Amino acid sequence: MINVTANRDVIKFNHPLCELKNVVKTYKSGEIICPVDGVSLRCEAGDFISIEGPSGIGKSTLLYLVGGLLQADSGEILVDATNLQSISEHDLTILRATKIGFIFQETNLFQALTVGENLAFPLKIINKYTKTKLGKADINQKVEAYLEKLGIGDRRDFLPHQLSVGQRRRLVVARALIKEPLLVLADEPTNDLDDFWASEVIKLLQPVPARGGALMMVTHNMLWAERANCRYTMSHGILAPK
Amino acid sequence: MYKFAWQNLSRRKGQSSLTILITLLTVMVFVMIFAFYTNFQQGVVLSQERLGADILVLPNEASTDAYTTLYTAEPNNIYMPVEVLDSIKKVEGVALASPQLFIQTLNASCCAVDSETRIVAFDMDTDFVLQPWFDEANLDSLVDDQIIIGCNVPAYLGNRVGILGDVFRIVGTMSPTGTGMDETYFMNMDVAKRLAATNENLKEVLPNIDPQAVYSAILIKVQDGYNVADVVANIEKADMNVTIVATDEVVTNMKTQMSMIGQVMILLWMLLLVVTALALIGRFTALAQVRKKETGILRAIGGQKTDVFKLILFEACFLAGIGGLLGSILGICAVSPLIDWLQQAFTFSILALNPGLIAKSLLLGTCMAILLGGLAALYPACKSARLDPQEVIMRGEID
Repeated sequence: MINVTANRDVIKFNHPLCELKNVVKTYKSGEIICPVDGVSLRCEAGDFISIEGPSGIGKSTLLYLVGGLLQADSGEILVDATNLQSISEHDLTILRATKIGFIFQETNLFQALTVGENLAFPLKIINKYTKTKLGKADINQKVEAYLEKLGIGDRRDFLPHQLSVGQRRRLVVARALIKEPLLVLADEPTNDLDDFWASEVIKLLQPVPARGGALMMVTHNMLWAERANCRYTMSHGILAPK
Repeated sequence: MYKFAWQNLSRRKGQSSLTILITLLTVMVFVMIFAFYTNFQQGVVLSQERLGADILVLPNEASTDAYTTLYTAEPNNIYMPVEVLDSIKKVEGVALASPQLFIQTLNASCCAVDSETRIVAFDMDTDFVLQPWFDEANLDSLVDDQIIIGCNVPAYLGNRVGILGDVFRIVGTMSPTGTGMDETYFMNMDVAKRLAATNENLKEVLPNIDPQAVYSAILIKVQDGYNVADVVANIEKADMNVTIVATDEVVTNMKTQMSMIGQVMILLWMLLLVVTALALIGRFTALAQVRKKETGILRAIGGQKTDVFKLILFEACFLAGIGGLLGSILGICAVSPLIDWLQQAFTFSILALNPGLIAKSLLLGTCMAILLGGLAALYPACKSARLDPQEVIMRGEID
């Protein structure tokens, strides 16, 4: 079973937040493709890891593996000391809900929910799995705070299609962060954003390691990659320190 | 998750409306058939119960039709000699026999009933068909200027009405019977005979008829312990040149005919149901397909497979339920005009819809729609729940 903790103001770990041991993932699409070929990585609390490399080289696949959205062919992936290969689908879902914040490359939002409802959604999901549940007022307060930080406080009742691409991107980032996950997996989070808002998004992400979590970010942008304390490049399925 | 489902439905109005419309139409047709058919069956049973007579004896004329006599209020001017009554009373197994005389109203009488309708004159001394109603209404007998009307006659208690030049006071309205009695005027036999003998216009309609010497029908109650068929056989043996009809036979024939029509209607509705089910499966599958990415996101941020399954199933059942409820209401509203229309085209009478049947139709229509929606969404819900979140997030709607 997953050990679920809702409030992590103070986090102290005696194990890595995330650890990959010789992880291999292959796809069969006519020919066999191996985007992740024996990757090992250790990510401690407080780490900000950037992964760089050309498009289509397997960076996103690596994030999906760490996020438990893909099964590795071999090797071990541990998140908060839980081996993702050895837990049930149900427990893996709970782990994703409570410990992992995923920022996808595309701005996938629930089209029928307003901006505020989209932001509140992960908190309501967490409430399903925790004993100490967040009240409606707490959720509203958090949503308000994030909307202000993102500069879309006046768009709370808008539907996603009424937002600009940049606003949607910021909303996707906020949706991953609002539940304050241990591990944030960001797949090119500054896509579609101008320099100012890209910088604002990075500002939102940077407190994650500071509060004892870890951030793993795939990016093409050297400027943002330089903010990381551990930089890696990926090439031909191999992850190498930069 | 239910709130999420509601938000999905209420903010995708176009898609939701179409699904509701498909269900609505099917349920509307179902409720119309169900309400009509059930109402008809109830009406037939009630007719039999309230008719009170086991056997109907009519003149043996070409124009004699037991069906028309029982189920319509059209003028039915058929006559047989009064002596038939005495002969029938002597037949073994006959407990009660009461004569009736049919005359009719005439068109275009000023300040009078303005259409041709049957008037049934009954014998107060021997009547057993109307007697239970007299007992309920605390009336001993009808005096000369009094009449009773069937429940569907457009006149009200206390009204006065002109019939064949005389003014009558309506002193009572019969309970619904589901037969031609519901549209008929009832009056004292002596008064009817006097009208038939003195009204010149009616004499033209009934030439060569001596009202004092004829009856139109004799209603018979069979003695306890006697079989109706046996008594019918006994009357036939007496060779009175009459038409003898066991009323339950007429009712049974009518039930059988309507049952066949009902079966055809149900078959057609079943075909409609299959088409609707296929349409709904198509709609829910398309909706699930369009929302594949959202399903992937839901799973990625912590929604379980069961959440996805419940979400789609709930949305489907909710939409179908709304369609079912609206369809049931519209079906109930449409069934009364349908009954009126059918009554004009065919010779039968049906009771007005009762609240119990309305409630049953609403409940059945709505439940059926929810079941239909749930079954139609089962496959897309299972398919969506099994989706690999990473796959759909990366590949989207492409299968």
